[in-house]
Amino acid sequence: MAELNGSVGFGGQNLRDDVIAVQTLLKKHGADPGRVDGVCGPKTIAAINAFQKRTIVHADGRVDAGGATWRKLSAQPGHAAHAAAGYWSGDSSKWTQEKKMQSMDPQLRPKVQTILNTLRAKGFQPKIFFGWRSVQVQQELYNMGRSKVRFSFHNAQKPDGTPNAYAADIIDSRWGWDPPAKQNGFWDALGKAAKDVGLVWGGDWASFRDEAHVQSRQNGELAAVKKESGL
Amino acid sequence: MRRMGLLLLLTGVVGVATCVQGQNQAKWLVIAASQREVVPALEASRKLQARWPHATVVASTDCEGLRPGLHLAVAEMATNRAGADAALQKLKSEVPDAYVRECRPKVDSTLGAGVPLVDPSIADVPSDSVNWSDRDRVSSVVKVSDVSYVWIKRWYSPTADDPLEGRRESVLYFEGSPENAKELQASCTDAQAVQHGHLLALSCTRENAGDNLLHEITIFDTPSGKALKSVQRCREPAFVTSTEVTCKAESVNAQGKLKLEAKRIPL
Repeated sequence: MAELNGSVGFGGQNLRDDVIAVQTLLKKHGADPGRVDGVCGPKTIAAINAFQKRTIVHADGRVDAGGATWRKLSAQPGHAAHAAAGYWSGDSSKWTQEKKMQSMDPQLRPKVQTILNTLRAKGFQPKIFFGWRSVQVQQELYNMGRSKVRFSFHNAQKPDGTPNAYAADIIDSRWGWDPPAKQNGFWDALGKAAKDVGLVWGGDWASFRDEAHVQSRQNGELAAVKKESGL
Repeated sequence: MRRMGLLLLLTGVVGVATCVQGQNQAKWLVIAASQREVVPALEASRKLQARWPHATVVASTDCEGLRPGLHLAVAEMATNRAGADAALQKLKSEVPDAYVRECRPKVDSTLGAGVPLVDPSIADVPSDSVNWSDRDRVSSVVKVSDVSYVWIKRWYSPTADDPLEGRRESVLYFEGSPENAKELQASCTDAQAVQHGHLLALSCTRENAGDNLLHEITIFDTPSGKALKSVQRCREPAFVTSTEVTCKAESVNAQGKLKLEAKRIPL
């Protein structure tokens, strides 16, 4: 779990990334801060207050780095009403193949399945590395300099927070991103199989290659998908 | 007398894009607005441009003695206080709370190097873009020797369905004046450079591998701007001698784990 760089909420420093982290966690815990937009307005403060009233003794509308509210927010949502949020937590690269498939948009799933079947028929050993991953994880990767984007089609979700990824990363389980994947023609085969089912393949991107990546939406739709996701 | 005053005023005004000499001398900024974020400062400077052709955005962080962290919409930059005061009087008819501040440009800043902070194309970035941040909107320089700079020019490419939403970073190299800059890479994300004599090693992020970024290193001969050698999937270049560079070779396995191994690049 990432740490906050400053306090969020009433009288807080309200650094954008911190506010996004708090808003995302409030949603996971069933509170309603409004849109996850990095802006700490009255709805976010009210949601912090509501969460504090439920979880700690003193509600002051503010989340301090390392403080009691942050510790409570960072913990997994515990009660039954939010079991779904708990189900979708954790490192999504380590989920089972079935769960990764389930985290994708229903229209993407059969296309990914076709790709996997096509690659298997050619003697490859494909596996889904990423389906969905949370906005919070994406933000952490961005902050660590391990991603160039703060929101991608992997992060798409339904407004209630249920994963609905429009992207998948597919690798050969023997090689990952190591040179044999290219030498044995895996990336080319993946690209062809993806395009045959009408998906966009990241290996075609001249400005920034992503050979394992396939997606069902065009890059120009990113803003609309973010909005659809309630973010 | 009036004409002489006007002449003095005109000769006391500099434009950042053409400022090549005396870059580190104190400048007097005639400021119309100050903003924490780039976009509102850029909008303010664009509004000024009809009457103030040299209007630009300056980062207060680039100036010794100014409160850091602000983006200033500057109508005019003067080389002396009198020139600035005269411009201020004119500006106040449009912006009543305009003001003047002295700026001593830091040598390792865009202002100190004489390059614009914000490329004109940045004004065209769509307002609903998702992954643009202020860092993507401002150019920067790295002083790699006493006389030379690497200029990282960040700009917008209106390419349809671009995975980076048109975010681009070009890398240029110059000694002394940016007017002599040579483009080393038209597109290089997260540029990092080290220089050794007439050689420059440049690292660019080139691809995604799970939740890791992979790099390319290119060695340039700076007098000609010619690329001598490129190595894929390597980061953190360092010169051992003028005939050998080391870097960390990158590989990412099927568990998504990044492995780095020392690699030698003979030149």
